Amino acid sequence: MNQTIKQKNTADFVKSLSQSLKDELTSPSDYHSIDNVSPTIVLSPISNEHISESLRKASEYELNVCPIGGATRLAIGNKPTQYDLGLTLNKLDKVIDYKPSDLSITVQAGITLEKLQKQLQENNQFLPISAPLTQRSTIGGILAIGTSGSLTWLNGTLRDLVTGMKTIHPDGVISKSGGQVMKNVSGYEMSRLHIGGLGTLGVISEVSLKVLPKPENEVSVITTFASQADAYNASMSIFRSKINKLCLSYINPGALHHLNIKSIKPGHLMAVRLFGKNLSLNRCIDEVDSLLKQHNPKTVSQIREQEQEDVWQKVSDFGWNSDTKPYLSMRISLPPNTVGDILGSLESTTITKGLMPGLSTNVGHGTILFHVYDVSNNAEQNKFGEIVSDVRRLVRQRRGTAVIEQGPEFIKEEFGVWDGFEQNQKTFKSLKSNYDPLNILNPGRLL
Amino acid sequence: MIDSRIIKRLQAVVGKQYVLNKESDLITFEYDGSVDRSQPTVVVLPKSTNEISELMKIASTAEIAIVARGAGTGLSGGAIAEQGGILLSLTRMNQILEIDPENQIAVVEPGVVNLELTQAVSKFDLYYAPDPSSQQACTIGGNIAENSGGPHCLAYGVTTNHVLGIEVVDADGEISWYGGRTREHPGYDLRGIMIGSEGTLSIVTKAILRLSRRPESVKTLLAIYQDLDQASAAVSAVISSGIVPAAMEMMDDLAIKAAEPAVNAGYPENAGAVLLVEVEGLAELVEEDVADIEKVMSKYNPLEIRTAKTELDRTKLWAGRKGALSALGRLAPNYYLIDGTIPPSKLVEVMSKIKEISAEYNVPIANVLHAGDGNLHPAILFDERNDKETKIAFEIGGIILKLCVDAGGALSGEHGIGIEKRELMPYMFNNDDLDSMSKLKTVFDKKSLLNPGKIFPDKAESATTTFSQSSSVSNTGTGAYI
Repeated sequence: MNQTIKQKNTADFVKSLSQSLKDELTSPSDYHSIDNVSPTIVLSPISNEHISESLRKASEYELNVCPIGGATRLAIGNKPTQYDLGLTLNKLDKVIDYKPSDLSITVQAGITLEKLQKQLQENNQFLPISAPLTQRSTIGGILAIGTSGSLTWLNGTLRDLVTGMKTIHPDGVISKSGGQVMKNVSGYEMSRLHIGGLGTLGVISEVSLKVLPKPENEVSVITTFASQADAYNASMSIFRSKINKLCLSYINPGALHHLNIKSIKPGHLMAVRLFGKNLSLNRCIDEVDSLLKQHNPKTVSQIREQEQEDVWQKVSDFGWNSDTKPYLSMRISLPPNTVGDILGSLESTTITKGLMPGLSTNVGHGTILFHVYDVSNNAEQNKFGEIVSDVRRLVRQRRGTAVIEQGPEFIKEEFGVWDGFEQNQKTFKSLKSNYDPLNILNPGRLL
Repeated sequence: MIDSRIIKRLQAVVGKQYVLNKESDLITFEYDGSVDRSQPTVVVLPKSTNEISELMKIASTAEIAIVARGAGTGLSGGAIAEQGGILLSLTRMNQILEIDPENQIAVVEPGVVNLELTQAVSKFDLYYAPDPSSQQACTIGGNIAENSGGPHCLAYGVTTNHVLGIEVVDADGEISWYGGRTREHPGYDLRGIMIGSEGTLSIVTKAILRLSRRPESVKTLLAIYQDLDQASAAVSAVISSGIVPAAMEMMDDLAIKAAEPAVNAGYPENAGAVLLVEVEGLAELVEEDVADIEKVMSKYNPLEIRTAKTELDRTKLWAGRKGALSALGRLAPNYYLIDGTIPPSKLVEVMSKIKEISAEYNVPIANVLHAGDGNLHPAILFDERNDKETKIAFEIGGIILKLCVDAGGALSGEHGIGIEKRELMPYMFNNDDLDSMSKLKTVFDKKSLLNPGKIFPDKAESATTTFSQSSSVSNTGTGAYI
């Protein structure tokens, strides 16, 4: 569609909006831009009906829409092929229903993780989810991206906590699936298409989540090692033990340098967050202590309360806040037992090109965040291309996937950000054309 | 109609002996876990994914319905070939293909029996967490189709939380993998959408399952209450107190009366309700949780709280729970079993209403439930030889399920919609919700050949029908599991 027609359509679209939605028009800013593409207009709906109207009319006037949560990780995905309307959900940030005794909460998608956790905390409950920049990250955005953070419950994933969802389709139709109960086999679990769907099939507007009682006591054991092998092996021995853990991470010296946690000395870091009541927590601490001793630790310390929260939030923010923003970032998912032997290769392929890798691993889960920093500030473009090729080769040999989460446009374009799609591409396209036949939602970013 | 040429083509794929179309053979496959019956036209027992793919291509070209079936233990009529056609029995595909203890995964065929997987991996100190009460018989393929739960899903989640990847054959015979060996997969979660889709989207031919480490310690408590209200309130109180037990099961007076003489579990026959609570984990945590749970439950005036001292004690306590349904034969010739879910905080209210309904209709209802997660299993007792009683039982079933939905719950917790509850789907979902789900069916099965007629209400029928089903009616004393 040529630019003149687009401009006319946009003007007609705005004219056609109800007054209450017109009141929610705002000007685009850097906040809304994706890969340096900015929308023409931005709407901040205050109800499901507003979202519905926005989408229905965008379809009518052939405008392309990108739903936006906290705009913390808009870099994920391919560059949009067209981006006319930014649809921010920040104003939809209410708790709709919360009954602590049912371990269930239903919220609007625009609620931030921080606000949600605060509400739960009042009843000694929590959502076992971690995400970068929790003061901005919204539940809808976190689910649309679909990846899990360092915090996991019983080694599960983000999607395990969603019991129901309301979504709004590109034609404005509002539909729900699932419900507020943990056990529910009533029709298809449509939420599965939207978790990780990057807002390409519909806009997530409400979510029901399973929450958990907050552990009575928690402590994190922070250990540094001289070698990667010792640190990783120690991590795996803790993973395989029966002790209660909420987070277990290996962080390499490059990542630790960027995390800049003053109380932690340089080295290979293993951090584990333990929980329990009195006796059980002491038992966990003792057992971790005895496992660590078998792997030559350099320093061991314990952190609690706010200090503990701050360290784990830094781990979650890694790569997404301005202090740790990398030039290139890949999210690698592997069978857990192949993580140990790939870490060294990931480091060496980067270091040999004169660059510094930062690696943060969710041990046992098999995910590695691989960040490359432009040490000299004049990196040659082909170095990054070679790194992406090397990483994907190493990962594919181990039957994993390596998604480019952040990187310069030329890298994203040349290599494609997604990995592991090939086999299901046909079905993905069929889903997209069934649920978004006009391709108005986030065009090009996933497919 | 399946003519002889099609039969020959089916035989060419799987071998003559694995295509059954004699009346005497078909009878075996006309049931699932209920007495409702419908004969398939032909039963085919494939041995491999490729065979299923070939069979699907034949069925697709000839536009013949295909219903996949595991062990047939489900109670919603999901495995019944209601419209005839090909019934695909997957019991020959029963191999555990790989156990990878380091990654805590197993790769299995769909016909593997749930409990056999746990037995096979126990030498590695691992187990497969979803434990439907039918786990001695039900298959992984069936569990995936119904997203089965079990008593221990209170803490560990249901089937979907333990499946990493699946190989499927779609209605055109195309073979695909959804998900895989890793915890995360970019893009739409096709694995997740298949689980609980009741065999209507594709046929699962392999599964990569997540195994869990065996808990160090397990303790089982029995709390005996004078009445159901106290027991129900105790359940909500335990959950509110910040403890999530591994399992929290409840039986009411009628269920106790039936079970106790049959299995001698040690439940007092004059009790109004018993709660069976299991806690697992580190030995110290189990001790701490047991003490806290006892403290909470004591506030609701229990007649007694017992802790199983030995493994034998524990098995005995569970025997009462597991044997409850088959023991209902002592009370009535038939029961109609309901599988609805409610938020646990509504237990007192909904259980009271069920008692009121029982009194109002003068029909006994025995309750055996996964109380911790609000999964109710009221069993309405009646005699199917009496048409009036049968009709009333169904009517009550519908009322109870609507009660569950009104309380913020769901039509099914673990047995699916199948035939049984499809006409009630509009009570839980509006047309837009159902249309959105129907669109998914067309992505995977354009001709609607896979388990046709299940889940969705018949549009013409739903306008007039409020509730009509017989699929979950069971002769008591037979092997029904909840």
